[in-house]
Amino acid sequence: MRRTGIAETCIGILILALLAGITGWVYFAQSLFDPGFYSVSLREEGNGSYRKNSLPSPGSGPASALIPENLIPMGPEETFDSETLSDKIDGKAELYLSSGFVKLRARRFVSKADPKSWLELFIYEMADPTKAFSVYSSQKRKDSKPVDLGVSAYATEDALFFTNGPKYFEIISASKDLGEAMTSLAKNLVEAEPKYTEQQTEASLFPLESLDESSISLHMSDVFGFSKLDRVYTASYGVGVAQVTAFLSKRESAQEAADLAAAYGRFLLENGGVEAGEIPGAPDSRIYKVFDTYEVVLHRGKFLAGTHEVDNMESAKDVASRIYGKLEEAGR
Amino acid sequence: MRITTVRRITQIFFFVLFIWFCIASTFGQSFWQLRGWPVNWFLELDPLAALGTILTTRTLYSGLLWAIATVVLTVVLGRFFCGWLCPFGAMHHLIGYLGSRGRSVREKIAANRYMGAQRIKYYLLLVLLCPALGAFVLNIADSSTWDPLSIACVLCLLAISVAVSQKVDPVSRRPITVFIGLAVLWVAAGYFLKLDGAFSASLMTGLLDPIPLVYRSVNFLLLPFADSAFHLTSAAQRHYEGPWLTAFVFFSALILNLAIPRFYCRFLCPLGAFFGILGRYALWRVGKKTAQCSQCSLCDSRCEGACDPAGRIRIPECVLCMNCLYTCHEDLMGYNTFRSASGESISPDLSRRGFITAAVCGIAAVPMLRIDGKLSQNYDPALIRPPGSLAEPEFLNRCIRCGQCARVCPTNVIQPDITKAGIEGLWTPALNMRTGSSGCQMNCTACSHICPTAAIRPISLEEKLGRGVFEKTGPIRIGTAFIDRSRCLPWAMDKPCIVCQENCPVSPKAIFAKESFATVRDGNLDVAEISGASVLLAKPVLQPDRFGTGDFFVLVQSGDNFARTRILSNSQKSIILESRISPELTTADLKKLVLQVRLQTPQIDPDLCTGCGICEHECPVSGLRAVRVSAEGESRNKKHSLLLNRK
Amino acid sequence: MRNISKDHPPQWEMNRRDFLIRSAKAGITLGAATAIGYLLYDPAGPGAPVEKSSVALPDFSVPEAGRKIAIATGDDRIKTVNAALKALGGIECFVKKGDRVLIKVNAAFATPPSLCATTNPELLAEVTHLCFRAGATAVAVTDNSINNPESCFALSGIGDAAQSSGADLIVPRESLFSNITVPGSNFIRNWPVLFGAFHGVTKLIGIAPVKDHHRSGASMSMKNWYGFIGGRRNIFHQDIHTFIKDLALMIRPTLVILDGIFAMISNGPTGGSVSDLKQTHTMIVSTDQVAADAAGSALLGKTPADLPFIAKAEQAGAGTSDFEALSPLRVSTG
Repeated sequence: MRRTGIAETCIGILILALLAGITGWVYFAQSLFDPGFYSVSLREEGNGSYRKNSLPSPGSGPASALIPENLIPMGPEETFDSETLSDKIDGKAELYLSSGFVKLRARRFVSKADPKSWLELFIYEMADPTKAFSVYSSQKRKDSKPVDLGVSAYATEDALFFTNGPKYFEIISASKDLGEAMTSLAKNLVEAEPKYTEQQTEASLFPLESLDESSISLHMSDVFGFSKLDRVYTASYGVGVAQVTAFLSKRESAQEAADLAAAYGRFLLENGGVEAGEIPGAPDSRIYKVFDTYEVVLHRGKFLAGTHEVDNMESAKDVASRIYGKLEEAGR
Repeated sequence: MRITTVRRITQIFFFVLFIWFCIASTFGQSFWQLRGWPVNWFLELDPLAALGTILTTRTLYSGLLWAIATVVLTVVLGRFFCGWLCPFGAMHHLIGYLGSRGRSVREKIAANRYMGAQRIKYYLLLVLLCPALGAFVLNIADSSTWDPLSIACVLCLLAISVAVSQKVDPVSRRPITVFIGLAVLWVAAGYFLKLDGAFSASLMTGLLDPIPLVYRSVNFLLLPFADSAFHLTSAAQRHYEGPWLTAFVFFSALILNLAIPRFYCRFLCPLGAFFGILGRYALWRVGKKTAQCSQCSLCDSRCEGACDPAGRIRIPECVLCMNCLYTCHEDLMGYNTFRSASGESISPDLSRRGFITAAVCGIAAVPMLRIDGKLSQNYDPALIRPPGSLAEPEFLNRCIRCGQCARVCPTNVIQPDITKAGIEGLWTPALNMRTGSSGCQMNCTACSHICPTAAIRPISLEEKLGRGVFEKTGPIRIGTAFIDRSRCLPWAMDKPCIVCQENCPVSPKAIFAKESFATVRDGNLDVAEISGASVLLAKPVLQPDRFGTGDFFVLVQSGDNFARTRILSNSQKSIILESRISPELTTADLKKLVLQVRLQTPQIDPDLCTGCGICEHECPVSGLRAVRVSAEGESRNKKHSLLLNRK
Repeated sequence: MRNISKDHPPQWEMNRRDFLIRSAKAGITLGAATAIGYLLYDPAGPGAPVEKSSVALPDFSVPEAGRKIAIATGDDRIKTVNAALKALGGIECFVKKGDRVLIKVNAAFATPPSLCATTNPELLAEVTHLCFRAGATAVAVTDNSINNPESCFALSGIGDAAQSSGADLIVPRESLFSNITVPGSNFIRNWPVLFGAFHGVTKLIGIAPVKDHHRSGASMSMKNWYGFIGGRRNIFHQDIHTFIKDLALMIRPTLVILDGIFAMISNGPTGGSVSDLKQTHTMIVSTDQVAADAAGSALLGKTPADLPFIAKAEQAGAGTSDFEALSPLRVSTG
């Protein structure tokens, strides 16, 4: 009778180990699939390219409950990530990509009544609410009017733009008579999101008197042409007939705020500005006259603030000192 | 631990894995559904599929690269696949074992005796593989495709055939000359006589290749039963065509094991034959350690491959079951690097005559089969292939009939074809819109991504729908729907129905309706009195409550004026209308009105129809449907194009 | 009992040598297998069928000979064609020594020459002779007929005429067709065309009868090129005028010979009786196919305006419909 030698046993164990390895590989492989492809999505990948494990399931998209009665989906939902975003919005992708873009979901809808009236819904998912707000505010159209949705929103003749939490929404229609449908879709979308508690940003520190709230914008980089200025909120004040643009930015530390104020001041001087005084009651504030506008730069605590390109020195000083006052209050 | 124990564990492991893959080939994201499971792994490991597609397409597609692993291990170890990995082989092994229980040792030895018929599988391999060579030879004849790679391939093929022919019947002196002579003659005939039809090729290995065979048998026979009983993989019963043939092949192969163990493996399996040829230079082989043998033949009693271990062991037949190592009481057998002490033969027992006959049969088969014109004028319009399928000649060059596409199709509309495409198309996928839950779902490309050989090439959803970069080429069409006006309810029977138009999934719809009115049978009515919106008839002729469905109208004519008014309800003698008939028409002497039904008669817009078949599936004329899809207009073959400016 | 023959080398040494030889063979097999696998590896699979890149047929026109048209009147085909060619400067202006000429005839139907539905065989033979006399080394005749090719070439007399005059008859078959795309065309995109007939050809002459046509109004020299198209070409009748324009774009011939000695004025293109014919006594030879057809339209009692394909072809740049502007050389053979 054959004696089972050590070699045979070892080989046997090796083979069993190989089987275990195969099990592991198979188990690992089953998780390697693209769930995004199970919800119907179109990816622009060119000539029928092969994708492993990607199977679509028919018919899904933004929950149909959110779609108003008189709209029906026109095609499936499209999804884009940072690599494919430019396939959808071409050069504009840069704006989003530099603001923490995560994902875009887009879908077209057509009016039941008139097949020629259609609109497209874009949902941009950004990294955080601040980034969403920045892309929202930096693209604000001039001829827009605010819309009451409970969140930052404005509308133009044929489009609706709003932001809620870390998402930025655009509803753009092909004709001008879908306003109601757009508003109701927007309302549904806002209500569907978990109630996002407004994070206290420095924007709340803008003094409210004469403030045009809908003008609050967040600019992420190269603000006012100065490369060191980033993440700055601006807001518009109507002082008499004059428009005053104020700005406010929270920095990491008081030192940084001071340094940045000084650096911005030097930048202004290098570019044709002259010193023109300071705000009474606000030490470390400077007024600069740049050609024929006034720039006020001040800092208090971690905040850098001021006014930008104001025609009237008095209005500039007025708004700037109110801001300073608010900052003082906040500091206590 | 005995190696035979390990072998059994391995067989069970791969069998269970295989069954799991069959179950998991269900469309969906749950753990037990498709997800990322490598369900095609056994098909990809199968070198016949790889070799066949290399010959027909001159490429090695994607996952088939696994076949290299199998080849490497076979060349080094021998026919390990048959004895350790093949799930079909495991089934045969089990049933053979069960069948031989209760038999005496002598009977077992007799059943495992080497039989000359075991060479049939080599001939089968030739007959099944040689059809794929036609394309290869065609490329040689066509000098415009000569490039370094194809010349290298040709030389390789020549070298292999020289080597092979030398091993076949080495006694004869002229095998090389004859074989090469025949090949040259064939190529020359094709080139000079311009015999275009003489070089068709097709991939026929899938017919008997055990891995596709066992995939389709389990998927088409066993799982549907499990579904109907346990709703294992599908809530609804799935249907597959041609079970009689699939079952006949599958079960007869299994049942024959009761007579002779591993019947299929020994006599019929072309994959086993291929491994047998590959394993001739194996570094380790089963054999006797010394020649001192009492010839008790106990080693034969459990020999799976019937390879005659007691005598000159036939290496091509040995499936490495390792049973003989333990049935021998003298410990003579081993898995050694040296050849068996009592000799071994490493070439299959073929005759030159048989070899050449089989090869010629194989090569000639496809051109003969193509005489029926099914690939040109005489194409079967009822053959609808899944979206993404290549044009028919290229499709037949790649399809290994594994049935995975039919298995994964979420609507169960892909069926294994038994009759439409002849033997070349046996078990290849064809759509039957009447089966399953709906036609080909518009947003689904499941079949194209599961096909292991890209006979259905992987398509993106965008390409299928004709969006984005594919807007110019338009959507992928698998056919066109045609309304059968002789059967359609509104067209032929004046019965309102518009189910097809409602279900048409494309936007704008490819089925549109034209409104028309038809007079109902016995619809010319005599009026007694009309007051307001109600009409009293002269005689009680109407079926009560029949005409209140909203589809029926009353047509009143007076001279050149006429008006139609919808009927709200009716009794035997009276009709209540939706609104008053205009007074101009209800003059005192109005005595007649016509009862009409409003019909919406469907029409197909061929520019938009993609042939998805949902309309055919939903048509209430459930036998021979009043709207049917046929292959005209399918994108994959421009010759079947329906219209001129068709995208 | 051990049987060790003392003549044989020790077992283990033979085994080792055998093992090494086997390993080598195994290694070669593996090397070949992996090499094949690596070289042929195709991860992407077959892509969507791509429209093959535009393959333009060569331009067979002879620019040095200029753009000319000759209109010869008479009753005899041989005399008129010779007169017309002479007026153009002689066939030597167009066919030079060493040329391989392809003559595109109309052999669409298996009808006798008397019905004038196909190219007249005597005319073909004469043109072939002229080509050879001009120094051509080979002349080929072809058409992808509508009816069965064998019977068409036989019954129309063209087969015999070709053979007797020394021309090769190219009978269309599957392998001669290739899919091509004509740049600027609407319909000839990735469509099978009798490309193989052009192999080695340096000059192309079209010889077409003047016929009335149900769909297009007339079938003359431009429509003659329909006989190069393969596949299920009936489909193009749905937009015939645009398709004829495509044909004119596809082919730039050396010469077109429009045989209007008899014109089929009714029941074209198959005709069926000599009563469909009218003796119109005209042979038109031209380098410009649009001009030739424009001139030929009069023979059918039509004007170029009645034939939309002429305007389309002119617009596409295939020629000019104002044949008078080419200073037609009119000759009479009495």
